[in-house]
Amino acid sequence: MEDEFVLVIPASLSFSKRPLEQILEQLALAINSTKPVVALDFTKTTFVYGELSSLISSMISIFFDDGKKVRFRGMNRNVEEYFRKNGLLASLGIGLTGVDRFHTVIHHYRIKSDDKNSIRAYVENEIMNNISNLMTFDPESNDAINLQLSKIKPAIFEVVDNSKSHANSEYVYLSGQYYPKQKRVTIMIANTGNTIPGNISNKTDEIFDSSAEYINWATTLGNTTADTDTLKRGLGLYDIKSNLFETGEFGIVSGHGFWKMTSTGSIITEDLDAPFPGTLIHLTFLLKDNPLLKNIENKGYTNNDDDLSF
Amino acid sequence: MILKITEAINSDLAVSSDDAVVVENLLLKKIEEKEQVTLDFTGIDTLTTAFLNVAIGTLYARFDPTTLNAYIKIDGKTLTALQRDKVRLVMENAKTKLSNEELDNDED
Repeated sequence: MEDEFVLVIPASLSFSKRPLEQILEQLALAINSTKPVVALDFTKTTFVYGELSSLISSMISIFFDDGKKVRFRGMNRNVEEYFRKNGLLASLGIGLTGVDRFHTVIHHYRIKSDDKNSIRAYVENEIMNNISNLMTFDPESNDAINLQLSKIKPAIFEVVDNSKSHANSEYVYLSGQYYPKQKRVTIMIANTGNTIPGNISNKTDEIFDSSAEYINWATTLGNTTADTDTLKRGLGLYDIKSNLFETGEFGIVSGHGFWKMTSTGSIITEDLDAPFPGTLIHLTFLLKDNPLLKNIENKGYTNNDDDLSF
Repeated sequence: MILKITEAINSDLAVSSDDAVVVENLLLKKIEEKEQVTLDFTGIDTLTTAFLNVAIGTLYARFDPTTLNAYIKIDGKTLTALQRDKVRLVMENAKTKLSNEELDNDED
């Protein structure tokens, strides 16, 4: 079709630099294209990590906001079935949400970033209930797992507040997937607002060579611009990073920056050839035994009140 | 007086900087009136640094720690271990930021 911009989705859609870059290079071209229709071509796609639905949905919103129409093309049965089960297609008015017999799908939702009650309902009903119903862990691991689960809701609210307060994004796009064999739950929260590198560059004197370094700066404790207004900002990303250190994974794409903390605590910083016009936050909580979770004193989670003085 | 956070923000979600402004203003008023306040987090389901930065962290810009300790007490028993960790993080971060600012001002 001559009036279509065809955006080819990679064979495997995951939170890795290469597939993200493949999509974002085409996204930039599609945004600048005068063609009124964008066709998302899934012909080559055989596997989609469910949480990446947030990326697909946020891209579609960008196209809609630009007055473009969006079509799906070449979606194989498995991928289509998945997008039915997680509600992505239904959210676009295409059919009804399908049944997830295994209860491992965490539905996709677009929620207003200031709608605390809907965010809470999403976390409690879509994430926590599903996982709790499926968990059959060694009782000795329960305390560790419960501690890990208790981090999910605050982490999501931190990200949502960042989306509202710093990115000025009206909506957040949430999707996830519970991976029982790998004993992990992964959630992606996307927004299409101001990017982290852009915000730091505009609001501070910090200058870095790469976008990824701006993100790294934003996840580091103790950075300041010698401005007391900064007391109102920051810490959310550092808090998530510290809570997921060696107990999960934490990834951020914002503008051209790609930043990731692996499950061993290593930090990867790379710049992408094309930007995402917003921020993607990728959170993985490992739901298995871990000395860092079992011996919570090691993480500073003590009951000592002495240090609660100013 | 005891300041119940759930009542101050009319919610058990202490997660947004907007709600935190209410607590910040209440605390500033009490300090100016030289009245002692105990912060009670009982019933708070979710607490974030985004909330604490504004509710507590900003106080360091207005008053020194001695003054803050004279008028504000945080009831640690009303916090979960994870929440307590966040309060400590916000306090340490605020102190560090202000120390850095003082150092920068000295250099100017």
